[in-house]
Amino acid sequence: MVNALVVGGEGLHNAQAAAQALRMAKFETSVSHLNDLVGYSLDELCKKYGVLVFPGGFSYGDCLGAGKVLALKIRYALRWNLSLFASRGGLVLGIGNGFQALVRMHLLGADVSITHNLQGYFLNAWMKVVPSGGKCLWLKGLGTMELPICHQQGRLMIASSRRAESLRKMEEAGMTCLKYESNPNGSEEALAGLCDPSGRIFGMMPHPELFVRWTSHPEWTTQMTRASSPGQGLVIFENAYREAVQAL
Amino acid sequence: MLSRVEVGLRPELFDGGVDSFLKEAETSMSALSEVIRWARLLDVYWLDLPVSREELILALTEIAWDPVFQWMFTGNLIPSAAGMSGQIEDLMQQAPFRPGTFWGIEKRFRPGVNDAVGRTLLESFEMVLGRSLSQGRAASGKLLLLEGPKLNETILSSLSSEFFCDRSLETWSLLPESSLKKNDRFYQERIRHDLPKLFRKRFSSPLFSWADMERFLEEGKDRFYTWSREQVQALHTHWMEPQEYAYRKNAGFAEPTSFEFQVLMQLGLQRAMRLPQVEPSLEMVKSWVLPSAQGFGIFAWDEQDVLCVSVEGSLGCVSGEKPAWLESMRSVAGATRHLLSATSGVQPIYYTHTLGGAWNENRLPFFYRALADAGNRMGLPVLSCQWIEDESLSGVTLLHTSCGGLAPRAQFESKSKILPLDRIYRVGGQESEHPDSILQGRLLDFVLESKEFYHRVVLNALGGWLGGLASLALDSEGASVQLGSLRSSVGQESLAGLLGSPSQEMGFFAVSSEKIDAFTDLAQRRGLQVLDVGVFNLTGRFQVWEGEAPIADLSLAWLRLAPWLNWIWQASEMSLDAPVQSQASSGEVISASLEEVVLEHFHQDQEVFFLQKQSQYSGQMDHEVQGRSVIKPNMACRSGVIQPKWDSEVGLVLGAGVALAKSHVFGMAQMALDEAVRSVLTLGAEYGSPECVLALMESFWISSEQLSSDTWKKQELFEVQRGLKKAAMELSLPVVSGSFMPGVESVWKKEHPLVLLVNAVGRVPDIKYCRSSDVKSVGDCIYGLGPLDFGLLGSEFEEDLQKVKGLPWRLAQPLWPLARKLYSWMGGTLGKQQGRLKFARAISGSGMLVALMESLVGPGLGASIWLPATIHPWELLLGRGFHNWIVSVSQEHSRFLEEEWEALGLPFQKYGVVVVKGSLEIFWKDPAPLLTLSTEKIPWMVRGT
Repeated sequence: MVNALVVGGEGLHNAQAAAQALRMAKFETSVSHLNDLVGYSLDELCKKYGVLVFPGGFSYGDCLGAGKVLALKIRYALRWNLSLFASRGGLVLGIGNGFQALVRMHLLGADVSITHNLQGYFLNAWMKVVPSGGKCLWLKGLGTMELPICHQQGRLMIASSRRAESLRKMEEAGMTCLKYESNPNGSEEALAGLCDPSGRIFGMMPHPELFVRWTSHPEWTTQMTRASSPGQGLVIFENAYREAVQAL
Repeated sequence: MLSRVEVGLRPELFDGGVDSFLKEAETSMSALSEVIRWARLLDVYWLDLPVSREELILALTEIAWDPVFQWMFTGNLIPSAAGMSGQIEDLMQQAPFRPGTFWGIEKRFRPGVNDAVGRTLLESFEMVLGRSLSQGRAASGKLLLLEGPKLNETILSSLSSEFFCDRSLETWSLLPESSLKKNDRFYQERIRHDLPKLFRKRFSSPLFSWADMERFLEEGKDRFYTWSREQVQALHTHWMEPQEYAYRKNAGFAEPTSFEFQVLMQLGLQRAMRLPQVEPSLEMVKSWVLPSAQGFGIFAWDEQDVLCVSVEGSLGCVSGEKPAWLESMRSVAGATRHLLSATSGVQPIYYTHTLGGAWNENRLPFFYRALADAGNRMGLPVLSCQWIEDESLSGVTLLHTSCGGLAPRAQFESKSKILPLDRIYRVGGQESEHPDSILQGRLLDFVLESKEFYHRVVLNALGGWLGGLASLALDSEGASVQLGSLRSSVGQESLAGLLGSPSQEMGFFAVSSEKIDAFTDLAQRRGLQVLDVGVFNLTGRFQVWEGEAPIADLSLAWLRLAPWLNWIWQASEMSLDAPVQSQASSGEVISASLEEVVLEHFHQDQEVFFLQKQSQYSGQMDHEVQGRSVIKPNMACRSGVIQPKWDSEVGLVLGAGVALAKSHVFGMAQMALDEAVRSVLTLGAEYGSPECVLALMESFWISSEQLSSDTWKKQELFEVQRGLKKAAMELSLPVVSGSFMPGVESVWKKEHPLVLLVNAVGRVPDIKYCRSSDVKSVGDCIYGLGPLDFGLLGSEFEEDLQKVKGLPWRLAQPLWPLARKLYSWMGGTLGKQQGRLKFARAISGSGMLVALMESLVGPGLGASIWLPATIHPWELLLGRGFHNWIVSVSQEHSRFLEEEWEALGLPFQKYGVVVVKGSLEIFWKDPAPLLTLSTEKIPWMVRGT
């Protein structure tokens, strides 16, 4: 049995949806408020949980930049070294707002950040995304998927002074692991998600936890025979379960 | 240490935010693109923190600056954070036109306005530095940097006051180039000056003697809103009653205090006038309808849970100047608070909205977008969004939000009561009438999390302290409030000012005496202020002290009775719904073409079409929380389905009917109810047996001034209620009634018709069998299901059609026995073939043509439709009727449906077929089409995207 922890509270609205996706993938899942985890050491985390998820939402009202304050909370209040957690066999997933926090913590590239969509307004759409590079354990063996995006600050950027070099290094390390088929927000290289060099810490702007049932898709009624099928987002969590079991 | 920080995008990056802002401003200030050559938007922070310079530099670098894409200007604090010199000139020098002519517009919040960014900034400093900075201050604002040689103060002032700033919340100032370059805004004294000062509204003190009734009435007029002389007399009578008078004199009250008046006013606002409600009759009583407070419905959902729906939610009438985002956030937060207050902690799971306004003022799209954003911030999906456009609504935006959720049955079966010795706690943030989504979220989450620690909660906004405390006291046997400690804890100069302030982020809890430690500990861990302000007792009175001085002492029994709120209604013999004679027969010459009328109605710009993206028709209103969404509300069908429980296939469906009761109010009320019912049956709600859960909620907008002075309006209201009850009885459905919104006349000066809102909520037995309102496949057969009876009276096209000669003018009539059978078929309890339907779309007040158009646009398909020769085509296409749908079925299955409809005696009409090309062709009598509309170029106002 593998335990998963979803961090909630302070506007991380999708915690329950993420927890449901993990349960459907057979994890034993708990949801804990961010403030209740202060003082919870990394050792305790590693001992109890194989997977850590930072879900989507509107943490701290997106004040000071989406995911910024959540990143500060993780770094300074929780004091969790997520790279160490991953090196001890753990898996980390950041979705939407959670991904923004991981980016701002520079876990997914030192010269990478995330800012407002190029169009300057909120995007709400279903996008095709394509795994790339083969490094990310969460995306292992997966092909093109259609997933929902809902964000105002989803544009990934690389520091312009070192762009070419940073991008090359990230690609060589397999970190540029998820791309949009058609770039909706001006993200560098149409990037929709990134992973760390180990492939165990992964973050993405699209929301797989919001498409674990086929009936969540806006056009599902055109294919009624698939109504009982899982949504394409579920496979990401199922992948994680297989990896987590192997790591035990 | 005092500091000012300005943060913006690096000069080589495109500023999409400011670009989007200027494009929006250009819709009204068309010359803007000629005078602004370059623009940049910077965040501004003012800080006064008990930290060292080194700590400030470290923390600022961590919190406020992202070197990947930002420059940060800090005076001389961190010069390396931007360009060569670290000053704003570096940015100006990167502008494409040099040397350029620059201006800045700086805006900040008015004193007393909630500054969520400032508060979050302070919290962030505390996180990074690892200690409390309770004596620190932080404030936020924006600096819009513009370049253009033709810019002048007049243009900039217009831009500031009309677009850049919300005048109710913000102030602004212009900074010429010389001032920008001088950098004195970074000086310590200037920062100290710029940081907002605390400010409280003050109560107006009582100026008059209570004994002199006439003077009392005259001078107190502004306070009493819509209270009549008789109502004020009721107050006077109570306080002059010998026993009460003697008691109060003994308690130290010479006369009623201003605080007491404030309490009565707040209770009056909250407990609105008792108007005639749709009283249940036997046909409407269901076993699954549970007892509830006025304005709420509680229905047994399944064996474990109940569904709670708030009918009133948040009703607002917003003047043209108020910003959409603020009012939308207030509306959404207010509806959530309303539900949580009355149901002691049910988990909200959806919102519904209704918007009303004048079409030519183009405010509704902004509200549509703002509501979606507000729901996004609160984390809940929108299940239904209706709007109504009419000239009579000019100058205002009507906004109604309601909320619903599930709760365990056990919670309602043992409803907790306030007990003597329960403590009264105030929990929340700063007093402010402007919502802060972060604190809203914290407070609302806390209400749910702390359920086991308290017996009752009131989440008050407009009522402020006094309204909130009084509401809580009404549920008890006595309450004693001590406000003396408040002054020291919040540092207010004027207690009266504090108590009179409305607040969006505040709740009052009746906390069990054994659970106080757990309650306060949790509140503090959730980042909320918590304060003990009193205790419940058995005195039968609501008493408030400020230290030793009593400032309010009111009888709870009398407050509950509230005689000053009673209106007396008398039924009238007059019926407003006289039958309308048909004015013309079909076949006469019509002076305008159908196409002309249709295109004009949809506000076509002759030169430019508003091209509609498919996503507007298949796109969804809910944002972050799509996991539970099954059928999303969109342009084609403004109703939706969610899956409220992860482990159950049962769906919750919500739909609406809206009516502007200009005439034939009895009939219009029935139509609104009928449309609401059909909107949920369309998506798969069950109907037809006593166990089927389908209920209705009704509320309405009307000016209370009109209501108090206009007998005709009162009668209209009565007729509306009569019409609703008639329809509900015929369909055997329970109705939960809301109330109207008082005080509308303060912003809504014109005469206006009554706006009736009816929501329907239902249960879908299995979400896999839901239907959506978009056409599916080429070759599918399109049918009309329902009686072929449509009338132009009551149609959305009615006004446009007034100028067309020779049209028949009728009001369609309901056929309730047929409706019951037809709805049972749609609702799955009669017949077997309804599963073969591929799409369904209820025909509403906009008629069959619009129903067809909206159902075709999403999938980008077309249709060929042949109308029967026996009916007037304009009536059929543009008219309004009862009990009708457009449906489709595959060709191979169509015979099954036709056979079953015939066997059951359900009227239907085969109209045509879905075709591949994107145009809708309507034929009537002739081989040449009567009307052809391209589904790609349907001229529909862009709404909210």
